Amino acid sequence: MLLHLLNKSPEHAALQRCAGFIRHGDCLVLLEDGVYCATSNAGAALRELIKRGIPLYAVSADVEARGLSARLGPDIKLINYEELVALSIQYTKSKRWG
Amino acid sequence: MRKLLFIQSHAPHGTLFGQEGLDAILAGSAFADCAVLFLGDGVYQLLKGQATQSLASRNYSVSYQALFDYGVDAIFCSAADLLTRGLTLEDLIVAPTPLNPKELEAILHDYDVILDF
Amino acid sequence: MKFTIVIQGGPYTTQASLSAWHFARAVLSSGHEIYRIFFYHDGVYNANTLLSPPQDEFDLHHAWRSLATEHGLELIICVASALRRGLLDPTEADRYEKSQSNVEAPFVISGLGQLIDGALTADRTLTFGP
Repeated sequence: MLLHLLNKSPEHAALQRCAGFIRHGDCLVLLEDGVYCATSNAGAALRELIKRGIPLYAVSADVEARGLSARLGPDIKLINYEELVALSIQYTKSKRWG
Repeated sequence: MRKLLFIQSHAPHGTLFGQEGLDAILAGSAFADCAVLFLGDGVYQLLKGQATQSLASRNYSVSYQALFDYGVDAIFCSAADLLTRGLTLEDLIVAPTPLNPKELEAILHDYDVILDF
Repeated sequence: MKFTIVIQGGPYTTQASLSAWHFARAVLSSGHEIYRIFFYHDGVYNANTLLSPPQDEFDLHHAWRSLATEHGLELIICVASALRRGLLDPTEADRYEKSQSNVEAPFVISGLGQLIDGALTADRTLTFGP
């Protein structure tokens, strides 16, 4: 079970690339500029992950810092750093994308 | 014994990720079962004929030949990434095993720890 | 659970170090253990004692030092990455005949073996990069 950590906005290829490696049982955590991928006009890659039922998280401090709190899609769960720690324990390993 | 997967995702010379990634791989090989995956622009790390004299940059690509000597024989790349970059295995310093998307996904999940460069 | 945290970004230029610091704090406040903190690539720049951010901004270097001192941690920086980028402790400054040093405890210069040991020993390894 892999925790995918993404810190780049949709302008980069990182989300598309990452999505190709996510399997059922993994999750995706958006942090830093990666939280821009969580906005409600996010592209096909994120919609596909939502359709597949992949758990999607965004670090709340990064969302708030960027003024995105009212712009997130409904399928994104906001997490604080303690919850990120908990996820990193729940999932057996992590990979950073970006 | 834990298995480490090193992922090289950057092209050489534009950043120091490739060189420092390779240093980490060689260090890792002394202690653990290591594999290397060249992903995206990372495949350019292996391109033959890197001539760095004019740039005054270090041609560390020659060190990839030592991977087998260091006991690192699990070397992989994305077949699609080679194709989109117009590369074949003959163009590369060492020949990684090209993987399809399902195999790539499996590699990522097979190893205990992933170290990204 | 034991964690190894790898930081590949310098202070301020990207968010890597700040995210890693928040995560490290959360590991400890959640009652878990940090086995290793390893600064590699541009991450070694976090060790620079000469970092002098504006007074009204968050002092990330100081924050790392406080975290490490409070919890008895070492902040390991890779020797090869450090030397190349001009991060030297007094021993290395002497060795390379430099007039000054800019790395001190709890930042400690060491080798890549520490990264590998960290990855092999900890239960979880996370990397924060640029």
